[in-house]
Amino acid sequence: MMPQALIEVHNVYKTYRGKVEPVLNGLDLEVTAGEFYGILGPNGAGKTSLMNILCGLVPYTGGTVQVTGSEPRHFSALSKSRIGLVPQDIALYDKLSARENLHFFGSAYRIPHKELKERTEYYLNVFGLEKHASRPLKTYSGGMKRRVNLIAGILHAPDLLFLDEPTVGIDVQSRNVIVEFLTEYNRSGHTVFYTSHHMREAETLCSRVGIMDNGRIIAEGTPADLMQQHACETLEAMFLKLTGKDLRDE
Amino acid sequence: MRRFYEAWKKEILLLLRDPAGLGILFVLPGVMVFLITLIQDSALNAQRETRQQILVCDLDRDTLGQQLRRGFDASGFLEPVYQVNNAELNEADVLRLTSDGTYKMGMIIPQGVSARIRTNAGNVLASVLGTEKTSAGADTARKEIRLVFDPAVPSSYKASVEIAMERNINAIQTGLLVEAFSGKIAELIPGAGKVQLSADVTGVDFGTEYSTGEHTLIKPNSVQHNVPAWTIFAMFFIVIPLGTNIVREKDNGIERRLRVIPGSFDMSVFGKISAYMLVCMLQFALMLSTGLFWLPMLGLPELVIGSNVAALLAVALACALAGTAYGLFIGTLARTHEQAASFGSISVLIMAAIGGIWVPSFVMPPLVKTLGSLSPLNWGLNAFYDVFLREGGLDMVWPHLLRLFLFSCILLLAARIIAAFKYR
Repeated sequence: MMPQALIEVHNVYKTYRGKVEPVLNGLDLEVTAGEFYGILGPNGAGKTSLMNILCGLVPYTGGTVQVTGSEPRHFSALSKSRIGLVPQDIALYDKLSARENLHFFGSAYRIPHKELKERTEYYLNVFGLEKHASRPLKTYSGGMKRRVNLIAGILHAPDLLFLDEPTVGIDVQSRNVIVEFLTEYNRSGHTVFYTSHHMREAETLCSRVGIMDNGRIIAEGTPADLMQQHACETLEAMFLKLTGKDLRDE
Repeated sequence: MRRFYEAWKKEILLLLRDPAGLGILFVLPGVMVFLITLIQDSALNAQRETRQQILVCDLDRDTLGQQLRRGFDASGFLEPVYQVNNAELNEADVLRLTSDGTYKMGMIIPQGVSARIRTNAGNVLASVLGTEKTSAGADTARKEIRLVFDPAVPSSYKASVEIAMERNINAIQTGLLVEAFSGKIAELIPGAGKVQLSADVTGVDFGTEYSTGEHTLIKPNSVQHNVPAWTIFAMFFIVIPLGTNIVREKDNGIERRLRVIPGSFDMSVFGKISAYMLVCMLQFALMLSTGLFWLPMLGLPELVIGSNVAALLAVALACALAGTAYGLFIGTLARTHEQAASFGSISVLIMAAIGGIWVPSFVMPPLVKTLGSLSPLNWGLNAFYDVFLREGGLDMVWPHLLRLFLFSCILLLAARIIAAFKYR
């Protein structure tokens, strides 16, 4: 039996209001259940726009998109409950403690009180935050905030998790905890869709990667296959070979 | 409903942990109502209730001067001063002491002014009767009673003294004329009586009062104005914490996260609105208690809230909704914290200024008054006036409530459209 496709994107275009150049330019993509799919691309490649479209936050100009079997702009409550989003920014209230933040976002997903409390304490423990969970978030280090940011996206145990650069700007220990957790999370059957600029991390985590540039996927496959195809020893070398060494300042 | 409740609870927690925001919402308007009421009350007392001294140089020393003194005593408005340092005042003294600000005003009654009135009356009567005029040898030059003011006296106060003095002097002149006429007639018609100067020749009294219709009189004063005015101002100043809160949620991705969660995003917004409306109602309670209990402790009049509690609560709720809707609209429109805070606060200051929060609308020029009638703060203030001063009920305040409600609905709808438009 063929694995179920959780994300299906065909010939998708996206042009923002007032802009001429499309940010997504005939993009095709398919992610099946259980994959850890990484989108790698230089600045301005369209990674965040793609993620916003897949989460139903932004409409697309042309093409077709299906996520967990639904068109994202018309997600039902059930479809929404099957996806989780961990934005690149620390999308949390810094005057609230980690526990209060997690209670707020978990309640919004209508997780029963008792279960929410148990899950919150479990994840705080897994990510080494239980001792600090009552302190306001503004007193946390960058790595601690990133860990809480991740927990807020997985409390409701989504089938499909969207991660937008989840380890940007954090310490090695925090990165290690997050990477280990995500590996385990994927192994337990959850699908992960992930963007990053961190090539070594992507190489470790992803079962498949898509190299994105100028609004389309220019190469796709397992990290090992891609490196072999392009005769590169690392994913980073292959990435530079495909996207060039020119700076992509936005 | 759970999402609504959790959003409401979260907003309350965020507000409680923001001392600066709480300061803006509660301490600032509280301080403003204390200060402005004290200042305005003191200024009004200085003009209306404290008896002001007026220097009088009476060179006439006749009937007009005597009658003026009686008038001063009867009115209680001005206290005449005839001597300074045990010396009778002359014209130069009055001019010097008012120009250097030692006294605020002075009056110079020229010599022979009473005699001039009598002579003039006699001559007018002689013209009517065709008899011989009595002006031979009399002083026929025009006389001028001069009122002089310290240049620092406000023109409005100067005008009110001028009107009061003119009315007083006219009454005395009329009395002198009638007395002179009756004296002349008594000379011509044996047996005719002579009218006394103090006689009531018109049979008409002049009275002033506040028009209250069937309602109890509630005297307007600085407390009755400032408590509702600064309450509305505080409710609209919620634009700063609310606007910056919304911009922060957009900036740091919280809004994205909330929009991905199942259920309507509007429930989160309603939770936010209800939390901030609760804050507005607490501001209202604080300001009412200030007017009822704290201001009287400083010797200021006690706030009289009228008897229509339902109307009062409806007005407070309508103002709270309008203030919150404005904050939500500005927060949605703004791209940065700075835009939300600066545009929000400046726009509220402008709406407050033209809406009669600082200075009552009726003293404003017509253009500003017209502009002020478009300010939601003006609608709220007029609604509070209806309840506080006219004892109005819902039947009286509903046009103001309707305006505030429509204003809120339009802004909330606009905020929703703008937010949707930004995600394109």
